[in-house]
Amino acid sequence: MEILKSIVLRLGYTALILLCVSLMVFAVTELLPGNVITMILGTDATEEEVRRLTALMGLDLPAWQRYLNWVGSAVQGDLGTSLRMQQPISGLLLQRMGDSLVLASVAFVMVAVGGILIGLITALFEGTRIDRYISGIAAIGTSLPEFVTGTVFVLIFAGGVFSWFPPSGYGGLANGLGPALHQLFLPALTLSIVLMAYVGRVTRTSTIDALRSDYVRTARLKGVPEWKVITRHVIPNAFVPTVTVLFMNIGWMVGGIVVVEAVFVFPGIGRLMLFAIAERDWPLIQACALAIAAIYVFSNLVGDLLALWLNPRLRVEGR
Amino acid sequence: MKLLKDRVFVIAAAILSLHVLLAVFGEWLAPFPFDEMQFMSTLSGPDATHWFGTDQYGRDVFSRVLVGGKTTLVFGFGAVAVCFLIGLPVGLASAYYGGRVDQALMRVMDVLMSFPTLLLGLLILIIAGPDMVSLIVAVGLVYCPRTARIVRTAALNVRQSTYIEAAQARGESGAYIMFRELFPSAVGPILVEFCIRLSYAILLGASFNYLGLGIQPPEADWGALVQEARSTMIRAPWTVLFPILFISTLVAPLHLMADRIDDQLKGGKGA
Repeated sequence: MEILKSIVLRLGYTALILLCVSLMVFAVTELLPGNVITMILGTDATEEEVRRLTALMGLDLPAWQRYLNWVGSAVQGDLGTSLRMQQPISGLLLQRMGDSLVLASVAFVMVAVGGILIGLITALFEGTRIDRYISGIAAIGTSLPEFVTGTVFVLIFAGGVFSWFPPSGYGGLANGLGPALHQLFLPALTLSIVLMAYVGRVTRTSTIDALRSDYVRTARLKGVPEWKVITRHVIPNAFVPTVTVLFMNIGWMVGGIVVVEAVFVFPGIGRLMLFAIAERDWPLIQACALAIAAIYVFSNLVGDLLALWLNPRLRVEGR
Repeated sequence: MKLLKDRVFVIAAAILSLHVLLAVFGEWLAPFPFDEMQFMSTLSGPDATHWFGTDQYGRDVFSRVLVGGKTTLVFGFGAVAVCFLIGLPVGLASAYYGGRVDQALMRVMDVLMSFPTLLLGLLILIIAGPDMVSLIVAVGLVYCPRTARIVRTAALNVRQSTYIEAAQARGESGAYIMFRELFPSAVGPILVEFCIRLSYAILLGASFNYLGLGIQPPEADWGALVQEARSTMIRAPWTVLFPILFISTLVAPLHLMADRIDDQLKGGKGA
């Protein structure tokens, strides 16, 4: 039961990481400059008021106790109240996470479709001008940050040259799928570029390997038509590394999404986090950071498990 | 050196040197003070006086890009220095001592790496407050586990060599063997890592500045310039185009150079 052992190990590791993450997030807000009480009450509050609020918010308890309280209620879905917005964080966070998830999903589809197409085309035309141009553009794509690609997209497609897409904003899925996708297109494209180029390169390499393999040569010698060689023999074998890379990097998008949401004024969890930082809203910072880190850790877990399932060779090493 | 005969490598190195020169002499070359506002000529297009045009406060974009370049390179190299200050000893020690030391060091690095890079940097910047030093430390800390892993792998490849054994037999200290024997033999892959890390450090730092969490006005790097020009970029595209052009031409050569050095190390002829 080697496979079961590595899954259990991986789950335990994830739990450990989550514990470390929550400790770090808590420590950060402990070290946050600026006294929360003076922030809420202002500088001219009486000593009595300060003492009452400190007790009310549980700030007079020792740090370890506050950490346990915080984690305890977070596990039960209570993330406290936002200082600036004066509303429970959980509902707010869920809604923003939903919108971010929609954005990330669209980007993921783009990465999968775009990356595979890039990889297949460059591999089938290996060494030709088509390969060189596409590979070159993909190389540039990996070396640019999201705020640059996003800005360039806005300049070209959202007002500068063409006005095909809105430069910012997102109204949610309530207005229908069409308008939502129209607003999602540029942010999702921006979020997907780096990973798309990476997936493209991996697919290119594995497709070229498959094209040169003995089984493809045998199939060709048997007289199997070329399209059938590609769909039956090349693609199934070439796509194992592609899918592995695709899923192992879902978590990678979590970081990029913060910048993308800032560029396109997209009301997701990334912008909520930036808002919280700008406003020094520490319960909100804690909640956002914890949520982002948890999404990252879990998507890495899912990615690893899927990779394990797809590629039996990984199972031997375990973790 | 075969690399000097590689045309792509030479061109990339030349562009990189040009960037460094512009950064060093930028303030001296700049035709205007980078923060001088001229309200008579706001958002004017590129012309003979203002080569890259002016921004919404009438500041000369050319001068701002030149001075911003210095800021960009300072935090780029600074962050990589932090990265290697931590990553190099950790990676070398992991490879040299192996066993428990290796296990412990790599687990710590794993925990650091299990945070999304941007989030970890954000948290560090929140604690340290937004300025140049915090930015350098934040980006350096975020990336040091990756550097440590690369150094470790590179050093492991030469760990079993006879000259390491010889040095141990001579009774050399661990530090001596790590830095005088292991490091020089593993310098190739480490150089590749340096180029890649520098490019990522510049991109991550510029992203933080774009988000307004790094250096603060009036200082401005290329990330901050793009951010400042957000509201005017459709009317005055030159306010964003030039910073974007400069950051792209700084980062792309680093990637190309890393690729070429890597090809040389593998003994291949390059793709």
